[in-house]
Amino acid sequence: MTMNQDETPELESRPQGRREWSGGLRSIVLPIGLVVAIVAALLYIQSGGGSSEDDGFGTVALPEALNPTSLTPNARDGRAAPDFVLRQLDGDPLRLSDLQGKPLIVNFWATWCASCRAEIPDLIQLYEDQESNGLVLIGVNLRENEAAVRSFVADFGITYPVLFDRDGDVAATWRIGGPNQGIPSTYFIDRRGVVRKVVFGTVTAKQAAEGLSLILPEGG
Amino acid sequence: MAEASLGGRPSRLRWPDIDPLRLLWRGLVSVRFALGLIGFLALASFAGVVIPQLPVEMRGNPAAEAAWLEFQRGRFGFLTNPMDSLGFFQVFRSLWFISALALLAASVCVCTANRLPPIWRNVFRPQTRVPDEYLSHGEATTALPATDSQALARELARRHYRVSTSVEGDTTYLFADRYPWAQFATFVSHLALILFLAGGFVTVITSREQQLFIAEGEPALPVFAVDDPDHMQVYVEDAVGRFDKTGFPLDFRTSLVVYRNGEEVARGVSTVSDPLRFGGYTFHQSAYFPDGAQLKVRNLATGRVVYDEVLALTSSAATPRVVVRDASGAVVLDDAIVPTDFIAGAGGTIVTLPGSGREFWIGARPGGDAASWQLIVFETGSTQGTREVIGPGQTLDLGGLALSFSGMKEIPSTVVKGLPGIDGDGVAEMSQGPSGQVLTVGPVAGQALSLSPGDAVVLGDYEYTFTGRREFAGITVRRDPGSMFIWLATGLFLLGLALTFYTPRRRLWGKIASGQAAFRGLGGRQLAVEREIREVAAKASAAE
Repeated sequence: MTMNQDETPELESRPQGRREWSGGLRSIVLPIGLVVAIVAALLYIQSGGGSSEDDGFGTVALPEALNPTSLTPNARDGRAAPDFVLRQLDGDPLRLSDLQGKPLIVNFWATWCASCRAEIPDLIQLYEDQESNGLVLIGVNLRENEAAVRSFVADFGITYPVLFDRDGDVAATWRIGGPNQGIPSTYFIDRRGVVRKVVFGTVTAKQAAEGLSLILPEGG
Repeated sequence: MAEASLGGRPSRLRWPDIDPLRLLWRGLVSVRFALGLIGFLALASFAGVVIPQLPVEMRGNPAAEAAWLEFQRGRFGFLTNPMDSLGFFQVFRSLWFISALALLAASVCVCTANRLPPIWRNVFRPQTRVPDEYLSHGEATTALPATDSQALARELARRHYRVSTSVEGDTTYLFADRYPWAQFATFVSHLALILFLAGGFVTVITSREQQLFIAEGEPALPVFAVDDPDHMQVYVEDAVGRFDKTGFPLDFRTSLVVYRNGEEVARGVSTVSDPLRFGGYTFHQSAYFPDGAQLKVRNLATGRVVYDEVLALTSSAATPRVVVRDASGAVVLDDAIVPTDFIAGAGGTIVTLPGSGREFWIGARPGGDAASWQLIVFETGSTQGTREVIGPGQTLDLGGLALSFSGMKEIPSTVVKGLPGIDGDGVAEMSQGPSGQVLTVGPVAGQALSLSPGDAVVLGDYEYTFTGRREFAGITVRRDPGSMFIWLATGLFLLGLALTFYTPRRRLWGKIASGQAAFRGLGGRQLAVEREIREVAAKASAAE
């Protein structure tokens, strides 16, 4: 209540109109912090608050002894290909660095990618033509349902190994850049495990010939 | 130290005054500051409505953004680049707009929180006793003949007042309080306002939307890029569109399966108003297209599939409908002639007339008048054969056979690229045959292939199979975490309003002594307070 002499005393009739400084913590930090906490909690609840599991598949460190360059592995011309372990169609794991010593093509693809569907018959043909020269071709499927991939592989008659990159970890490491959300992306890797040619988009016959000439043994 | 440097005079700026937190607090609790912010946001929103904004689907695509900006240059000239730099083409996503919103939210929040202590005191530790001067001065005081304080208390309690009395000599002091907690309604309303602002902020920052157009049986399509943490794929099992006899749409619904990292995570039916939900995302049916056709091509040499696509027949082709009767009047052909060859402005194809084995090229071309068409008929392989042009409704004698041109009909069609066996572009058209849908594709090795669902047709090195008609569903995938805030805020806002308007809080002080009673109250208009005091006193007197 406030009251001066000779005046009608007035009660604190509208206390909600008053603002009181109660120190920085209570007056500013606490109210703003409370709202931020509420917003963060609601966002967390909406996001599901889950955490991803590590199943042992994905990008792994390339053993130093297997890196013929003095540079960090990177899926670019002249750099050692980043190593990975991925599950194959038959369930067995496959480690990329285990294939060192063989010319290699790594193709990132998905069944929903029209350009991938268009180039796969040519890749199969290329693989079958060059298998006798030691060429290994692997198709890395991106984050797709296994049953759909199996059906596609059977229909299209894919004979080279198909691997599953279930969480897109390897695709992210390899920084795929094809026209359909990163695919198709194809990497030509020589016997030392060094990337010699990168093709983002459908591989043309000319590009395939250039890539093969860089990775196949002479005369192959 | 500060005072000494000022020659011993008291400093006007004391340390608490320049406490940055206190300065910030002063700004945040200032009504003028809040009004200024609201005015600024209103102006900015007006600018965001008047100035064209970069379409959502172009965001993050530098080439599309540059092209759109170039288009705006014709309108805004040399101002385009400065406006772009200042975020005028993306007002609601600009840093300054979001900062102003956040500042307003902070202002409301700090302001509200700082009202809590006085209101808390007022609700839980109210001033139950007022000085006698408060009750003896002013027009606000209601003077009455003395009434029994117990009877008054009973009547007030009946009216939901919480009553306390104290006695000093022959004077009784009375305090009555009704619905004091209704003062907290202001917090509920302000919390609603904060949540409205937070909801808008969260929507601008975190909402996502993607449009997919998927056919039945097509591989599951990705919603976001493969390197996106929320990468999901949507598979359409069945898309259904129901129409009434006039073609008016009655219902669209789609059976969907959602995959994440190859695992099925959701399955269900999505409609326009009842979406499938998963992980904070909604999958709404937003479009429907009936004319898709799945075509599969197998290489005969390898046995492998080399082409497997669902064609969206989004164009239309005008096709002539012809009826051929034999000498007895029996119908030997009643069909739309699907064009696969285009000769001198006419689209047509080679037709073998059943029973006769005779081959004709039948096609149509627009007449002089755009609305009229002409049917061109000539017998292939014979220079002496029929070569005629007739109009709609006319009949042609083909020597034992009568061919009538019934008119034109539009059928779904599209250009096909990369189909094995076709050099360059081909055409695919879907028509209704006597036993179901027929997909006509061509030219394959110079011919038109008529494919019935499930039948494999071999031509050259390939086997062509029309797997069947496929319907497309337009699916809008959306996530808006802000909507949760908005719903909550709406509920709180309504609760705040209800508390304010339907819980009439009132507080009364009274003094009863020497045959007189004086009352004064707060809560509502003065006249209403006085009327209630008199009613209470009258009822209490009557009850005595």
